[in-house]
Amino acid sequence: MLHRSLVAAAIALALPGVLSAQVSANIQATANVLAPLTVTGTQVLDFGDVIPGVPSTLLPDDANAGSFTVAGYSTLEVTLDFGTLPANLASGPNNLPISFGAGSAGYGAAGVDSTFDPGSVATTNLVSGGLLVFIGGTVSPTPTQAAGAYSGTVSLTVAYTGS
Amino acid sequence: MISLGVIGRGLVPTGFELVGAGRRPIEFRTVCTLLAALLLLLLVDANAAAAQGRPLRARPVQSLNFGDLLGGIPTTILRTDPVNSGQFDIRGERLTEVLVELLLPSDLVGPGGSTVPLSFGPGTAGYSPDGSIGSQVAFDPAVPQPLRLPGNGRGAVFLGGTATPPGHVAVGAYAATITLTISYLGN
Repeated sequence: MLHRSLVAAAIALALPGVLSAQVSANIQATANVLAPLTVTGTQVLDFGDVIPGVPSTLLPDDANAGSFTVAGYSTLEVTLDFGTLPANLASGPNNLPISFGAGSAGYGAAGVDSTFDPGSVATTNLVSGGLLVFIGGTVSPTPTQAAGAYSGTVSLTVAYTGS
Repeated sequence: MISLGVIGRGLVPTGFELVGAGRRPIEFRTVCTLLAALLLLLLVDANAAAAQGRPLRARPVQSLNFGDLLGGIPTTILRTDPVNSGQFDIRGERLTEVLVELLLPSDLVGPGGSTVPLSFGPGTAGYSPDGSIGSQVAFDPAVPQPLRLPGNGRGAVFLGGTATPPGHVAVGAYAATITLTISYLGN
């Protein structure tokens, strides 16, 4: 009985060598998804008290300029897009004209390192995963500007370029 | 202890005892059966080798690594990327035709079951008869590829692809398995 089992076992061991004509191997596909890009508004663009008929301008590095904080990964390149900027601040039915010039916006690691036209998309690199973006502008009240509190919305969109 | 009888000038075993680990005797007939089984194993294996030549081998060499991904930004790895492309080594009977098939994942899977879609275009795989990444012949990894092994019976298969993470995707490590199967076509 034992010797028959041994012979059968030998045949069983040998047969795969005869029949096997296909082999397979595996590798992995891998990736690491990084934290997404975020942008947060951190300070209002505040022109303060304005006098009818007297324009008031804020530069991006002024203490009352508007600011945003951008957070992302390392030193990746991003675009800064203010989209459609408001043409007026509003107080009920009354409008206060606002305008933005070539140097009305700026960005930098801790302050304004570079200025740009907020009417165009800017491209720059994050600094250690972060960036500050600032915006100023000019309000031009008419001589008969109605008194009141005026407000508007400025939006900033940031995106990785892939570089 | 071995007992020997004498026949003419020679000696033959008339019976002997081998004592195993448990100090139980193993019969001569059983030993002969073991030797016969071993001989059978060797003969069959030799016949198999003679029938098929060198056995088929497929060996994983390198993972397909898409690296760091950003949400909303596709990343493509070329099959000629020496660091990040996937790679298998294949081996078989020289100058024999074989069929190479790749089982490709549709997604990388990550935290909480989040997925990053993968795509493999018509030229994202390549076969290199000399094993070097620079001498590939491109093929579609989605289509089984017949190829003829070179004179030394060895070659390499390389694979690239594209990962397209959604705009909002969970942060973390993602992975999937790619399987290469090779078989003889008999030519």
